[in-house]
Amino acid sequence: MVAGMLSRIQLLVGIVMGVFKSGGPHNPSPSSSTTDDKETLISPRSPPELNDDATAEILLRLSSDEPAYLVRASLVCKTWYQILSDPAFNRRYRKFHGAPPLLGFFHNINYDSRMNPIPHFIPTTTTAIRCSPPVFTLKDWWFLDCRHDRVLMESVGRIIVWDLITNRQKHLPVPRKRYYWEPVTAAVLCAKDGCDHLNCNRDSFLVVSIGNNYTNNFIWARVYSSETNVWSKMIRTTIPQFSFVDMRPSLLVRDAFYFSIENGRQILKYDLGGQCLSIIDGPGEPRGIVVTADDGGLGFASVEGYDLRLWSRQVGIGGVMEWVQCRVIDLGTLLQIPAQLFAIDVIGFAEAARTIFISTDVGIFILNLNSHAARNVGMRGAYHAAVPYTSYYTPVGQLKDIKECLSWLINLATRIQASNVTRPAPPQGAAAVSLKRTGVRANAAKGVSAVCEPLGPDRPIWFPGSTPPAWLDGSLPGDFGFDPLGFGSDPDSLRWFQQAELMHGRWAMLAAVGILVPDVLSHWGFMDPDYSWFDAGSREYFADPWTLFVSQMALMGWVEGRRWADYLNPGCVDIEPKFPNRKVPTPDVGYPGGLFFDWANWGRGSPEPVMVIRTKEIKNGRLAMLAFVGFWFQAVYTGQGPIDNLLAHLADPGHCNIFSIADLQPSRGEEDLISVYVRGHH
Amino acid sequence: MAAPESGDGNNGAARMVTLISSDNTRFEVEAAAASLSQTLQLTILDGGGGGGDGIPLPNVDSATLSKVLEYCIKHAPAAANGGAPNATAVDRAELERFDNEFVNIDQSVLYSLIMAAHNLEIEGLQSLVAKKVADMIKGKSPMEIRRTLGFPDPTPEEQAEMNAHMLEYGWAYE
Repeated sequence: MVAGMLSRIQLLVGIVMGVFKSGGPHNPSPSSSTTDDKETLISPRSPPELNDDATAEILLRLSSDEPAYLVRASLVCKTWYQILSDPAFNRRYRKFHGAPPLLGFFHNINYDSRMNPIPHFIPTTTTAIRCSPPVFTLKDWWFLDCRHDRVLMESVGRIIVWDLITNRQKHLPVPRKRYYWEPVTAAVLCAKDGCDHLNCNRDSFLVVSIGNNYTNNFIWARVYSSETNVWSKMIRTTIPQFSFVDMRPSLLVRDAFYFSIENGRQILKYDLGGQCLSIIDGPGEPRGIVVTADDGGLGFASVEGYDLRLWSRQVGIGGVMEWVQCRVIDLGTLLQIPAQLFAIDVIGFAEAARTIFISTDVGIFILNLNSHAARNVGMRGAYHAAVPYTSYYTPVGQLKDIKECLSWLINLATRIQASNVTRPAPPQGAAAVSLKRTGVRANAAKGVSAVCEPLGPDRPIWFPGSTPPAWLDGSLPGDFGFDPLGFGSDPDSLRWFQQAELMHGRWAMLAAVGILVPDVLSHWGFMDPDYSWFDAGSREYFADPWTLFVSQMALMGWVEGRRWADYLNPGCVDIEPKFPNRKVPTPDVGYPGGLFFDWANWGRGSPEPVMVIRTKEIKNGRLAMLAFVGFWFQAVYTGQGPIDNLLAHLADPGHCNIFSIADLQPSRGEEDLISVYVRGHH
Repeated sequence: MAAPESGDGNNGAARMVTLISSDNTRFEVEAAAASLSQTLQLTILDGGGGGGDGIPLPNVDSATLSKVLEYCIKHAPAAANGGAPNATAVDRAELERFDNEFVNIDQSVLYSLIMAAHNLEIEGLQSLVAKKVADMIKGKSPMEIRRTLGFPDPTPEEQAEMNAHMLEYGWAYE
């Protein structure tokens, strides 16, 4: 009996271990029990140890079309991981394979025909890379362009440049205020001179923003450089009335960007070298997009019936540039689509992969212009534009985060194994699903900026043209270079004053609300009409004043004590629950954040830069401090609340204002108090 | 056309070198074929390997070496021409067919070949075999790759690490 129980337990342990050993849901055979044919084949002679160079030679030749190949290889063992994460190997790999492969495309449709949300990234590879866009809701954001590993998104003038691989994003200043109905487009490219764009410098890029002004019939362009963080001067060119720029990705050919206007009736050229705009007539086809021609120059692809026509811009007779039709591809036979289709359109073009995107009634096709290989990659829909994403997906820098949660996962796995001993093993599918969920949650905290980005040297100054003092370097929010008496020249006192200002500001904001709201309520008759915030402290509350005082001292003392401790040793009183898979927020005195102080992650995870939010806070705080002082003096002089004073002022602005202090009799016999405050403030 | 041939003749067109494998088997091949190996080329240019004293190759066993030399002999004429215009399409197709059949061999031999090609610095062979192995492991899961390449079973720590990675890279297995 006992022996039977034991053997059953052993069996269960075996099953559970098998689940964990078998290496994932797609490899169900437990490695310990079955013997592989290949293993027996190898067994007579163990293979020689492959050294790192030989391994690198093999990995170098892994196909780049499927991003999963390299990732899987990096998980084989530590040595392979080290080889694959070596930057030198990555450079070699990219050189070896040339132009980056097409991984998928972005589109701007939010819902399918049944109003189910659909992902904005559609992979063209069999394994889809993970892609979580940098903004919470994509409803108002458009994917406009994608080049050299960067994705460009736009929403009513706001522009984000997003690096999908590192998940870093950059919010650009608004190039020009625009209205909802004005079409805009933009293009992004790596700004480094002589870069082969196989492994671009991730920090240096240019953005060309193009806008359309309907009312005055012109198109404007501005260029943003990530190095200077400013937009260039606006240049413009006139266009015929009611022409509009297509919100479709641009084409980069030899230092010039091309944007199509009105489905390719005309083409807008932006010359990066000469920085000028010009307009070229299209080949006269009703609908088409700009593509790279076979000779590498400017080309055009249009659809007429089932024919895909490819044009090239060449020098014609008499040295005049003209459109020449190079090839016609019969889409009917190539894509094997039924004959009754009526909506075939070209919606995108991947420069590096020379692949054209064709939307039809049966789905989206990609067609390689070199090899004529075509394939269906997506569902049908009202796609206007496909923004192709081409990049190398190498596992560099991605695995680092996982290292952190490694020990935790080992512990977890051991614990689950131990706890599952007495229970039947869960079905494998369920285990896989739950584990996958954990993986998704582990990723949720990514993209959180922990530290304020300092302002550039061109930040606004309180007195335009003056030089801010050296200790105000733009790293603090709300820093306008104002410190004529040098209070903050000592770093320690600057730190203290910054905290003091912040806390005073926060209290003052609370105070202003706490004064104004009861005042309004008492005016409207919801509260005692004699209520005044000034003597609120002398009223009767639910407990006697002594109890309230003591409990407040105790509670506030505790809170302030902890705040002080955090000031002296940042991060020492952190009460954030620690998960090994989540990055511990950088200690930031005065801005605790985390689960308890910023559970919705507005302060550090919002699309607005942290610096902007904090500047807003300190500006509001400063205003509230002034407001509170104003309320105070009003109360002392007039004995009335702010609303009463405001109404009195509005009723008689000429007499009831700040200059009428002398006429007022200090109320309630508070002359002493006034003299104390006046003396104190002079 | 005649000039390079006579040049070769001066160096000994039919000059043979002897290579000694790790298990002391002697192989006699044309110098031109052995010269495909960058490592051997220098020795051969210096006049080594001729006559009775062979070049010892302690890292390569006889089975592997015979395979390596099979490749070298086949590729030597093309290499001597240096991809010259007189290499016709037929020749190239023939070489390609040979290459395809050449790597269609037992896996253990394949691995020995990689190491041998690496040690002897035979670029073409190295590329050929590495491509073959890369094609073999492409599309496989890490565990399958380990088994295909005959790695020992992972230790529990390694296993946990792989599981952890798989959580993060769930998409890579779908």
